[in-house]
Amino acid sequence: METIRNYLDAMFANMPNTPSVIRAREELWQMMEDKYNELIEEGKTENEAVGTVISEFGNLSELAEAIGIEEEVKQQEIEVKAEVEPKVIVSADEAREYMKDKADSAFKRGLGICLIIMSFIGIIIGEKLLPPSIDALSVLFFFGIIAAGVVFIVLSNTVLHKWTFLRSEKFTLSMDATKLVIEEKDRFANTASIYKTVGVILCALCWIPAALLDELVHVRFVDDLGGAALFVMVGIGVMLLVYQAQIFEGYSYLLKTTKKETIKATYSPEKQVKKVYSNTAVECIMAVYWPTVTCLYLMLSFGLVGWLWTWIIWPVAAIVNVIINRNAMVEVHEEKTVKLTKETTVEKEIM
Amino acid sequence: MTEISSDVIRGYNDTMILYLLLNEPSYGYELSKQIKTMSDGKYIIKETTLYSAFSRMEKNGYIESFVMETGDGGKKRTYYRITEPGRAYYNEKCEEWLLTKEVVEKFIYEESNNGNN
Repeated sequence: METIRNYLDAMFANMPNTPSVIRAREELWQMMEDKYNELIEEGKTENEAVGTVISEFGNLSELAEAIGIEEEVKQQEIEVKAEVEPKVIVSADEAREYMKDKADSAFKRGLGICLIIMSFIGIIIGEKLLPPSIDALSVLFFFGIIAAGVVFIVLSNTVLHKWTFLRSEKFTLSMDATKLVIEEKDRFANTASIYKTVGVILCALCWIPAALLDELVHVRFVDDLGGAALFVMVGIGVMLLVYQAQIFEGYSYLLKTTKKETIKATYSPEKQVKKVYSNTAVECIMAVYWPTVTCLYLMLSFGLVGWLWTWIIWPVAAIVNVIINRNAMVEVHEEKTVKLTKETTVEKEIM
Repeated sequence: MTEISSDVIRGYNDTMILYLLLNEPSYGYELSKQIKTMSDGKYIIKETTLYSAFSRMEKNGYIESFVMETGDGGKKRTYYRITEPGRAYYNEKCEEWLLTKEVVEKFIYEESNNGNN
């Protein structure tokens, strides 16, 4: 049984982990397992059974077109001829350990960045709390916190040190590992969206404590706490965003879906839904929408209005964007033809 | 020993699978076993051939897949069931075969045992 599994892993070693490929691998495994079990029941020896199953498996090139791996199969044939070293196969245990280390590293990196952002608090608080004679110490706080942040960022890289062999791209996941990573990724998706939302909210609302304290309290010290709160909120917000993004990057890296080219031939049974603008004029405008908003933001900020209020442009632009997309986009159901196009179908999502 | 022509049979893998699905849904290994039995062991369909047929026919809407737990040990398997277009396609393929057979047979010398290559 183990031999068959290894055989299948080796066959799929160079294939991208697209949904269609994963499904094919899963079903081929089902069939092979069934056949193997039945042969054993019939009284065949393990060796005979494995031999029969493998000899009757066929050839991946037969599947290539159906599941969109023509190029990889061709590449594999070339590599076999050229006797290129086979790829390292990452087991489920290794994948689990990598994901653990990646999460650890993600946390450290997030914390490091958070500390650097929050370093200003050192100055704000220090100046208020310390007697004037030694308030130079606040600068020390400031640099101390920055240093701690840098240490964490360095540590976040060190944690992943033993996985540098994965960076050579000469690896592939075993079937169990693929399953595990996909499960983990799905499980993390909810948590990630909570982190993301909270992170964005914290960053977007960071000015509120400062504004409120400014309005309501007129004690000098408390007033400045608002400024400190701003950095705390941005710091934590950014930390959450970095943390979840880093973890996701780990999953994608293992599954090799980080590069655009590998996300192809995502096979959907009946129809593929594609959103397009119904109006060409709108399409032209939307193509330059975000760059224009950015230009506008910078011009207004440097020019007339100043930085204090120009941030409003972002939420407004985002809402306008959503409204335009709602109204001007139509869903096009593309009938998938037998031959899959090799175009990458990466949907761009703008938050 | 004469072997079955893979070129000719390739065009009829779909027909065999659809025939077996006419009455009830089934799954990969069951189908490959039935094909082997019905052909008296003369045709053993390869796993990759079978899966590419599934994948192609599903895309064309001739069959549908669903996952079901089976009795023995609750193992999850992907089952396939035939659709209406699938039935129509099957009938078409049957007619096509009858015609093909009729034409080719006119050129087969009866006493020869290896008219095929």
